[in-house]
Amino acid sequence: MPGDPVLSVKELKTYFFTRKGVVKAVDGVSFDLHKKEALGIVGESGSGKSVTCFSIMRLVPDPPGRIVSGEVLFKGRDLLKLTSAEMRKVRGSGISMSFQDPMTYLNPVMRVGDQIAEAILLHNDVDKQKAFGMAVRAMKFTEINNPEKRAFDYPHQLSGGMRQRILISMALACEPDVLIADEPTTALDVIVQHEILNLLRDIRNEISTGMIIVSHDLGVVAEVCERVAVMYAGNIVEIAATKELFENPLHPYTMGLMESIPRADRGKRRLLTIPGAVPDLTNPPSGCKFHPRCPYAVAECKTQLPPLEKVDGGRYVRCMKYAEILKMRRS
Amino acid sequence: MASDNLRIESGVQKAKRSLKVQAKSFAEFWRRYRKNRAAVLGLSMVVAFGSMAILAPIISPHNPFEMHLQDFTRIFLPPDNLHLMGTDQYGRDVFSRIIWGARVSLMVGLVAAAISAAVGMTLGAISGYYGGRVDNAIMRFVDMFLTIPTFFLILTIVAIFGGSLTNVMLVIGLTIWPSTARLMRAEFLSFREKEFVQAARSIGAGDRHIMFREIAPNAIFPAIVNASLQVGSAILTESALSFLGLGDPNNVSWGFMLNDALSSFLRAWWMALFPGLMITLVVISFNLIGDGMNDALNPYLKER
Repeated sequence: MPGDPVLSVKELKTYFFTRKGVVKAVDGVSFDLHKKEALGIVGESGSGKSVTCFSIMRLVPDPPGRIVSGEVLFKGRDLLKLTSAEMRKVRGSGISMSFQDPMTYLNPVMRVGDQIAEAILLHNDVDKQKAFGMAVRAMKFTEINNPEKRAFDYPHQLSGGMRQRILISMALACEPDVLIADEPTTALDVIVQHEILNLLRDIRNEISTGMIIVSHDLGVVAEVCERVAVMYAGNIVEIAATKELFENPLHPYTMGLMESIPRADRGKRRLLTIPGAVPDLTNPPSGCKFHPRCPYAVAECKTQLPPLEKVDGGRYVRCMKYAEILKMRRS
Repeated sequence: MASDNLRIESGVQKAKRSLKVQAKSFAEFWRRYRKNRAAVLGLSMVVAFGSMAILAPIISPHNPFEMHLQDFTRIFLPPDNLHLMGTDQYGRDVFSRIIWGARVSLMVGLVAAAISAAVGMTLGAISGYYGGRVDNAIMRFVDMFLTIPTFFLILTIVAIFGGSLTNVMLVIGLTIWPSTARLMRAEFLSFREKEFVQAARSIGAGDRHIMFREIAPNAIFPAIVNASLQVGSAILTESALSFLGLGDPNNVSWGFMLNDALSSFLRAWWMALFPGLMITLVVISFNLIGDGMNDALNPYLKER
């Protein structure tokens, strides 16, 4: 990977302190994001993908959530050590975020153009009219037809795909260095999904924004991202280039995931499922959190959490048995 | 453009709108408000009272203060062509006094409701938005207010500090805000958890921005409805104060006229009837307006 990462997350831990106990939603997540790179984060519901993103933005609701330890280095500065005023300046202009449900994340009583203009006004010293003009330009950038007119619409007058575009233009309005897209396509139908993914890809080619795309849909991530991080129960279990991950998964969980998606190139076969269920994070399994469901598990897996180890080709995997798995596959 | 969209919308979309959507453009509001005939009636009555108050010097046929104590042929005159509503025990023209009285009533009502809205909305917003200890402190203060019978509190304060118009407005305004504060708090409590607040934070918005620009436009409507109801109740309170002789004796007030009528209303029914009628009508019209605004602004009652 060339150059320094624009965003570097190190051993991030975010816990939720609830009445039922401490939920370790994010438990030691580390990854780097480079300029112009698109990194996908995939995982089941409750694996900590979204909490990771909210932690980077420092938007975890507190209480009950708290970022317990770790570092989030953005252009060399640790975001977790900034004052809240400094952090406000980073949000929107340095790192910004678009969200899953484009209806509820837009203010129902504000014209969409005004909402985007607000984002611009917060970070730029321009007057309202100019900001509105810039908002229209941002809307044009996300390929909204007739943005001059649409800017005067209220959110309920727009379709789901259109609203998602508005959210993305809001996030991009101040040209951030990093865009975090949290489940950008989940609430949309397949055709609109495809359009939004194309849009994200175009954005990445046109401006040098780094992207984190969170999804539970491997297909979505495969379409846009160069690298993918797989999360399980608050940990990253594997990071690899997208193609590598799909063709040659190293972690037993990733392997299970790959077996469970329907693929046109594999012919007719029964899809496999991973036995068991996602662990309860108030009381996660000891050692490697995947061991109760893992076909390769040995006794040590129950006691030790393996480190995220670097494998050749810039891959990382968190498994004791990966070397053997690799050997088995080669032979 | 909004109206075009509305016409095109199918029934299904309408149903979807009615729950989620709150389009708050003025035209939209008016369209919905107009459906409530009683509310329109209330509004036109208030407009009538308002013009009466503003134009009082022009339209009142007599000087409302002019007395004819010596001239016994001019006191207690029943309504006729010269004195449309008769004269009182000092020979003053009741009709002119009614017209001038609208000034005091409307002014007290509007100013007191405005004070109450300003205080109540601000404290309620802060309370609901920040929650926790701030919320606790403000809400216990509100509870304290609510345990005291408001009218007796107002009565006591006016008795101590005097009943000048300014005092009356201030005292009424500063004692009726707790209900507004509660409404506003409840709204802020629910809106601060909304996703669009999270979205605003993610673009770098601070607390003040979120409170006033993001949440307030969503949360203000119940408080506005409440304020219009409070105008009516403030007018009623002022009349009651004046009736008890605690108002400003230098102003013409409907309550004061009722007080005058008390000793002689068996002889001169017009002295009691007209001010009483006015008070009733004004209060009813503001309540009708409040109702109409509630129907027009409440997204859950839409499009019945």
